[in-house]
Amino acid sequence: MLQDAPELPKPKDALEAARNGYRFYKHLQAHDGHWPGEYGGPMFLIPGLVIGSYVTGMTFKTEERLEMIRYLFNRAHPEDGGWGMYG
Amino acid sequence: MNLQVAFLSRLYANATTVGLFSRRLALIPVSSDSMQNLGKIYVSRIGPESGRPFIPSSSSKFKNGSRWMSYITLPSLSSPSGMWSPLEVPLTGEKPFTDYSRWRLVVNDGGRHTWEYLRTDNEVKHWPQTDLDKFWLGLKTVCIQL
Repeated sequence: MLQDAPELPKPKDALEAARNGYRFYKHLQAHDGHWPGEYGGPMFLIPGLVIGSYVTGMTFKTEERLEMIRYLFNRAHPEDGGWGMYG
Repeated sequence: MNLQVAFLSRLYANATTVGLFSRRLALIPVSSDSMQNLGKIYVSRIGPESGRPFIPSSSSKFKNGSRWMSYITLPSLSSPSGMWSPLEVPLTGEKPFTDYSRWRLVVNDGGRHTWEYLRTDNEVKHWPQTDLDKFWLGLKTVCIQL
């Protein structure tokens, strides 16, 4: 449960359900008002990130490297070991 | 033609070189005084006749099929070979390799997202993890009782 989240009442109509949804999404809002999301892909985005870092000289933190490795581990096909375009 | 750039090293490039690189992969001028401690970007042609990266033996232009190519060399920040050092990791990615309670999402004014990793307890103390951080890390935070 979200630490500061209010206990939301069970909605009785569509408007109340929408209000609950609104309250929920308030907790996932960034400081500037937008809702960040994630987007991944072992063969689609990681290569671009690595290529970009290579070209610009941007380094990776050790923690970033570790989790990138783990990400690739977890996205590998259990049988053939390959990676899908979008994981 | 399919091109593959084999990334063999971690490199440093100044802004000018980056600008040149972003416009055109081939035909990058290389100044002779920056040729020491360099990593290399190799441009290879992938096709049925060539399964391995093509590694040019000189620093000048070379002809790949009907197209003239060149490779650039850039100063390396890391080891003399420019390779990333190996990391020891668990055999499976079942559990996180890092402490997820130390990651923080930073949203810049332009909408740029970066994840920061807090290495000291003092940093953790002064920068609490938000619900937003926890949600996208997959930490247990978002099951609201409706």
